[in-house]
Amino acid sequence: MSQKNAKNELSRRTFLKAMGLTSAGSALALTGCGDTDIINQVDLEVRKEKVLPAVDPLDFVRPGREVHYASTCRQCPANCNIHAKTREGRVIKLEGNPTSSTNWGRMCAMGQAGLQGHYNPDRLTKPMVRKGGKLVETTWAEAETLLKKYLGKKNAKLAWLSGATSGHQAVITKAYLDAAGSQNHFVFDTVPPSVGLAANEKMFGHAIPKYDFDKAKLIVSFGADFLGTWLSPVQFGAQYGQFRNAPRGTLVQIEPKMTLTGSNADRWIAIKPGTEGHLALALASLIAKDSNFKGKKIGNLDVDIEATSAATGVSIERMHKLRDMLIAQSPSLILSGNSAEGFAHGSQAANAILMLNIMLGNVGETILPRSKPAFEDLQPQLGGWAEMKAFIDGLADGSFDTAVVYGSNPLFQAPDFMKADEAFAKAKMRIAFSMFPDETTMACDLVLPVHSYLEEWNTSVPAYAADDGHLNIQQPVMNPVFGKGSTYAYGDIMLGLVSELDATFKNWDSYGAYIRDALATMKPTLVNPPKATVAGQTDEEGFMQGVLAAGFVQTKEAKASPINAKASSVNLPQGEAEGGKYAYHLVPSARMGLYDGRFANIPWLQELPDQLAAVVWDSWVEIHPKTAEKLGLITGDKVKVTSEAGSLEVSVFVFPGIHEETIAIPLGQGHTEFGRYAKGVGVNPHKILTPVFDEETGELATHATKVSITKIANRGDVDTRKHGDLVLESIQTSQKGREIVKSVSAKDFDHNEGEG
Amino acid sequence: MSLSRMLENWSRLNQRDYYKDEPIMWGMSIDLNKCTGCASCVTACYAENNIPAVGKEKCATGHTMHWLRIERYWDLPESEADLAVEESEYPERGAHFAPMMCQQCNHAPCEPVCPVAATYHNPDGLNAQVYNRCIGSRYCGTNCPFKVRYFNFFDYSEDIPHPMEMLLNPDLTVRSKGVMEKCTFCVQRLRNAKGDQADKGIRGHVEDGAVQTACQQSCPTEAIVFGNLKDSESKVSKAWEDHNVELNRHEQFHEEGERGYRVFEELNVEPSVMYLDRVRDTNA
Repeated sequence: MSQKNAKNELSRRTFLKAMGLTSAGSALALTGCGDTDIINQVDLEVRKEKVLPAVDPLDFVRPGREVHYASTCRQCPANCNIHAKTREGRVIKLEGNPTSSTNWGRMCAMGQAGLQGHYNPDRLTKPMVRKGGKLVETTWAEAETLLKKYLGKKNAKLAWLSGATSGHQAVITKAYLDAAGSQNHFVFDTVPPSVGLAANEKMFGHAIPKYDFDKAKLIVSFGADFLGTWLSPVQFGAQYGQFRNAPRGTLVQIEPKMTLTGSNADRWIAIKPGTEGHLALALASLIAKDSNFKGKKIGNLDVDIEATSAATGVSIERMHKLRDMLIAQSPSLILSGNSAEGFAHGSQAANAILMLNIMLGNVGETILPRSKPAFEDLQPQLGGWAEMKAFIDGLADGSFDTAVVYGSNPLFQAPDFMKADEAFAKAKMRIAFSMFPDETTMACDLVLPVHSYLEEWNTSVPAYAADDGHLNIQQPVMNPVFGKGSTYAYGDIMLGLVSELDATFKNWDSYGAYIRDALATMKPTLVNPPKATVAGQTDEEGFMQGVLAAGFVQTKEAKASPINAKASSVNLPQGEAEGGKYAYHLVPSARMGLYDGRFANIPWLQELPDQLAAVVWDSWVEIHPKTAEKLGLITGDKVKVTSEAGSLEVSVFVFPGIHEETIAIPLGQGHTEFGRYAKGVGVNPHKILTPVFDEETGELATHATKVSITKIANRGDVDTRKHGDLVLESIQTSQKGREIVKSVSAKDFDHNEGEG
Repeated sequence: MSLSRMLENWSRLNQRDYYKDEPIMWGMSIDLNKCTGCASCVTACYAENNIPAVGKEKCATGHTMHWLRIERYWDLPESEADLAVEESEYPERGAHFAPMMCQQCNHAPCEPVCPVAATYHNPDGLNAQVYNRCIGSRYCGTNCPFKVRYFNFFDYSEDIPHPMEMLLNPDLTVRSKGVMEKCTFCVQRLRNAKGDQADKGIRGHVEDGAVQTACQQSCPTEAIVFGNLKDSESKVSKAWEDHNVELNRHEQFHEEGERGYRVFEELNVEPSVMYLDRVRDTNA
């Protein structure tokens, strides 16, 4: 990051100016065509009827014609590249950017629904401050005074919690915290598989290596829902599409609760939660002993197959079949995901699973190295429960006196046992940068309403980059929805704060200028930087127009050196502690749709039927038909699900895609705040998790909780509808003999459609 | 429209291949080997076509407006029993997904029953719906074998809270109470593409890939292919040809393992959407 020429420096600016607040208004609607302000003349939506033709309209803005702006989706850490389709100055549709190696022009449901977050009626439009115990609306002038008072100074006791972050958003946050003398930056995101990533880092030297799904002849996934929520579902969805071409790859999914990926498997294997590592070890042992296996044998593989079969619930015959497939279908790809890793021995399980890749020779074939990043500071930080716990613990023991939260909702996500509310209440000052009145925001003393990702400048790096050195650019695709002076970009506020403490940052008068300057400075490090294309354009202008129209840049990266994989020793617990009265394992399942609950205020996603259960606008508990029969339950009954840490009341959904000794409650609902669409809907299974942590990484063992189930009402008492309180979008589970979805075998498919 | 004209149209409609000389017939192919049921297409359709979310209570009474929905079944049709897994308590071969939208039937059962000709067949092969002609008899919905027509029991547009109305697509109308609606193959995009061609003086031809439906555009696995069935070079006609699926048949004549079919084609409704069989590795 270089600075502008010192003569450009604007000294003695007011605090307001330094925050970028006075200039934010004019940095609007910057386009793929350089620094040009578009003044929105056609303003019919708000009934102003100002239907004046633009006096001097820009070439590319024509009423009735769409203008596309390249930008970045920030709905989840995957950060896909998008084209925002705008009409008459407002964004009406989000589409994938076809040139992006992250998503190849495609988008998921959550990305599509970003519009309803952007235009959400419950967005905060005015700063709020706590007065007499209540949050009341205030002016930006007062909010700034307070912000300056609490954050415009050195404070080693300041704690900062962000959601998954990367790019210049991470840079400026870190710059501020460095300037403020605080070491306490925490990153928390619920879904990224932090235990598995740590295991990858140890084994392969990369937390997220590159995966080549297409090259794999067989994928065995231990609970990695790569089509739903794992790291980058659109990227893996695209790779999966290739993988399924002839010659068609085989997918085996091993998990206690069927995920979206599991529902697409050629063989879905129900396994007892917490025994995934044991199964992997048994497979390694079977493979090593097989005469057809020519690869490298690793470690001590003396495993009692019969005992493993009994513990995992997977038959010996099935294990033999898996062994044969793994030996015959090489290269393969073995993935470990959240449901295998959420235990006290989660790291060990991940090691056991990932080790199969080394044995089977997949490293260098389907698991590929990355280069060392050119700009370390821009790299994604996905965070995890350990950081969340450190944040809460620090607040609880008084190590921190000021708490700032942006892009994360700890009071909603944290299990009750963490006592996050109490800890949070102890801080002398709590500040939220937030778009919505969520649980954490409503518990703060100062609330600053921020821009949506479609209104601000930024850069980011995808959690899973298909190409090393991929840097996404985000630009405002329209004027702020609520007009000038209601919401501000996080980056602009941060720039104002940091320049109070570090004069270097006074060189930029807005975050947009800072981002553009950063990109211009990066030009020599980029692969094929764009040049001037129009006569009379300077190279600088041509470059900026080019990168904004592309939506991302690619930095030159060193050649990646091959992975030197190191198998770790695996130490798995033998036998399971007796659950006592808590007989069932609880799976808090994340799903494509509401994700971890951050999208519960989006009506499109509330109304999007769960891909497997087809339930809308609600929470439910999935119970296997046999278990349901034993407990006398039918779909629609209300039950109380109790763990040592608490209980929840929820409707039953009888579902065959779940292990008999397991129940699953999807994440996403159970908000006590968060606007009209989310508040008061369903339950949050995180609340009743018990205090078990992964022994190696300190991450919360999200799948280790055991629960009991008691019926509290028959569905007829709840509601006279067929499924009680639950609303199912598709009641029919059987084709009733009709040929609606037909199937053929992979053998016939390859025979007919294979190459040659 | 006079009554005589209407009757004339109806009788023409029932002649096979009435539009056979038109240069464009939009069609689709959906590969169930690739469809993962992720429902990205469903949300894309909501965003593109101004479809309201109706809320839990109205969902419960069957008023959900999803023009495109994902059918999800857990069992095989009877004829494929040999693909079934051994006896198991679990659905070990996963689910059966099929995106289901208006199949743009060429012998559409919904068309002849409309008392006001609000639903008709257009020369591009679309089963079109004229909202301002619709009187809400719902005969068409009753007659649709796919149940892909959705009726506006309420004025949902009136309940859109500010500023959510700003995301509405100005290229198509917001439907009001009392009219039937359904998938149009994103007709507004098709009209735009044809208009763009007309600007260049080309009529009756839209280059393959120049227009995508919203569902096709968002699909992560490229399971959906859309285009002009009359253009022998288009991806979609090649897919139909490769899989040996032809119009004017109520049953496809297949070799063992060939995958193309149209849902309920035995009803002789002539859908414009071809599906390709889901595939499972029976060795796994």
